[in-house]
Amino acid sequence: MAYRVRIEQFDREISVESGTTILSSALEAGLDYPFMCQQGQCGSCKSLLLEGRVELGHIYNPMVLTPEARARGYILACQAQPLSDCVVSIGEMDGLVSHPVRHVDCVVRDRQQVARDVFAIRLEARTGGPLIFSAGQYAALRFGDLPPRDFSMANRPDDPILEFHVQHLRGGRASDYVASQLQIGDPVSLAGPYGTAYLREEHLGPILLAAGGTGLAPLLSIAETALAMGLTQRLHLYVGLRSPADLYYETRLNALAARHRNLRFVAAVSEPDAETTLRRGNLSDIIAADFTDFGAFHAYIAGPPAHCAATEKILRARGLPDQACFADPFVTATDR
Amino acid sequence: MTEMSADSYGLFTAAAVQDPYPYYRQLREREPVHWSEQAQAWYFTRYRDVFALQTRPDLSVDRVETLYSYLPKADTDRFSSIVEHYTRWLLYRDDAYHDRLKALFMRAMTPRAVELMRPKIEQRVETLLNELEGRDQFDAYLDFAARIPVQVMLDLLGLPLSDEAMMRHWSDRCSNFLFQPVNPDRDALAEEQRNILDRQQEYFMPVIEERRRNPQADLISAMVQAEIDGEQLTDLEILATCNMIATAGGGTSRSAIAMALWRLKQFPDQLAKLKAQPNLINIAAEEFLRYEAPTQRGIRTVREEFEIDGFTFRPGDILHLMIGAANRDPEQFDDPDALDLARNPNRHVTLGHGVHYCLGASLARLELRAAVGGFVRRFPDYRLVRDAIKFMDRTASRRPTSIAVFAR
Repeated sequence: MAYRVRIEQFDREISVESGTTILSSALEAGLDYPFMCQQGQCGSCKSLLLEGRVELGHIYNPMVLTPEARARGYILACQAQPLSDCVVSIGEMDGLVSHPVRHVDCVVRDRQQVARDVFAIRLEARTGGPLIFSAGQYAALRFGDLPPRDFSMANRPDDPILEFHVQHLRGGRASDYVASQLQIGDPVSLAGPYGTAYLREEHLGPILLAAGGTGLAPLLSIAETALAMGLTQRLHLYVGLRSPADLYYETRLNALAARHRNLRFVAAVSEPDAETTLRRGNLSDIIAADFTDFGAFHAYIAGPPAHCAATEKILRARGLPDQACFADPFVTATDR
Repeated sequence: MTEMSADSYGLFTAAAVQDPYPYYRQLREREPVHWSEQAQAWYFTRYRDVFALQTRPDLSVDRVETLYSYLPKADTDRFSSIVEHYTRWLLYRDDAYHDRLKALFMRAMTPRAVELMRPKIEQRVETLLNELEGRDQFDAYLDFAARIPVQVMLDLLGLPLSDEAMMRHWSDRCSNFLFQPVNPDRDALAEEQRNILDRQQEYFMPVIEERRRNPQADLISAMVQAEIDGEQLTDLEILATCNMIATAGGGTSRSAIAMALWRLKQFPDQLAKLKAQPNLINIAAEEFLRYEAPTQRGIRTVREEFEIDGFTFRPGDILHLMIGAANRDPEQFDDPDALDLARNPNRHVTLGHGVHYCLGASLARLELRAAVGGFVRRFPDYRLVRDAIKFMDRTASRRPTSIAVFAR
């Protein structure tokens, strides 16, 4: 008896005899499936079972395949034997997450104006989902007949409702559409995930999250994911805005910081009004004033390209190591 | 009881310290569940028993009783701080303290986290090999195998390489105390322990304080920042964990690397295979771990009565899980005394199973692969100066004293 196992990253279907592991059949089929120890010990072949049933194998490293990971559908390809036809997605290749790009049809569950020019929209997957992603990644959203635009997921990866923050840009067709036409119940199609600025869970040092405007979305996902996972190092979340009217989620972020001693939240405005209690100045100047040495940090930067470039420059000047800066700058239609 | 079984079939003799495997075989064949008068403990030498006991959730790893028994009888109060120190090792805990500390290390020791250490570890290996290059003869244990894990542990803790010799001395002596020589001088050992633990306190406390003020991307910083269920680790807990990392992590890996290099010379066909197929090291690491386990016993205490083979084990009974014996059990492994680098499956019990599975397993594997793979590439024609090597005088662990080699 043989089962058909589809491996998303290779866009290939292989045949796996019963009693044989997915890994050995994949290697026999000539696929470059990641593996190392073949003993269920190293985790190199950790994969997500999207469809079908497998026998997990009974001896593997419980740190590599924890009960929680098992509950989320993870398997070790070197141990798992199919019990039905299956679809499998490889978790990491060459040390990078490798969630396959999916095309998901969604409907709008909620649309709210959260700041002067910012809309938060929440989408529910109808077909093609769920979207599997790591905190910090983004997707290309298509509203009506408009060309796709990139937006970052603001929710945690384990939350089935996808949330995006849309900055209303004058003349931006997609954001105009969201601001003026989008209704609850409307279809939105998306493709993703994309991007490499996702949370590196293994880092033990402090973390800086520097958002410009709606760059808050992916960094919110990262902060909430990190806290939910129990990361205990300091998380410094900075948001830079033009005016106080651009700030959103202030209450939520202050509440999050009050709940988690290791989270610090700072909002700064470059064009303050008279009353504001927010920090005044450019975000990069404020960060420069607050820190002297980023040698032990990981930094995630999100927002407009100018914000990303200015922030990265300051961090580098203060010793941020080469491999420790993660950013996928938003490139808008006007920048392109 | 026969004379053979009275001294556990010769397991405590000098010959058994050098090569315990024939003695294990006798035990396994004649009395797989054996009461040792000398150790006042039950010995299990079959694979199936050792595996079942490793995965049994109701056994305790608490060592307070055995640790007290290592102290001079007349003077236990004077040395009780030693036992207090070791009871802060999560290795010897069953409780919530174990769980919260373990959660922290699991994140630092995931395969991906360890994989990110690879470039640094490979660079450490290369640097040591460069230092040996050009010498006709050197010590593959003292000059190579024993140095890598200590350097890796220093990197992990964020401590300077200049402290290598001191850290290695501490880890050597602490493991000597924990594994106990066959005929220990209890007074001298306890005195030495107290002295080392005092010096560790002088050394680590300022580091812990500094990391609290200025956290870095290292394990000491992770520990000072850790807060689980609203509780933070105390300085003494962090200190004990640093010593545990240095001793358990630095000590076992060096033996594994050294014994792999020694055993490879006894199986020239396997060495040739590894030279021809360098990628074989990934799976060969499992065979090195099976063939010569650095830690030869896991010690557990019974909490609830149970039976194996008609023997009843009662609360408080001490069980010795004879890892080295289980790994050579022919019921589990074909031709168990042959080193077969491609052996697959290879479900050895060296790193444990279940709740107390070795936290550093991924790191240990990476060090073993990087060190043995790197060594064989650099010195493909290395030769042992003497075929036999001398092991340290203890039965619960295998630790060479020296492996003299000719570089070619």
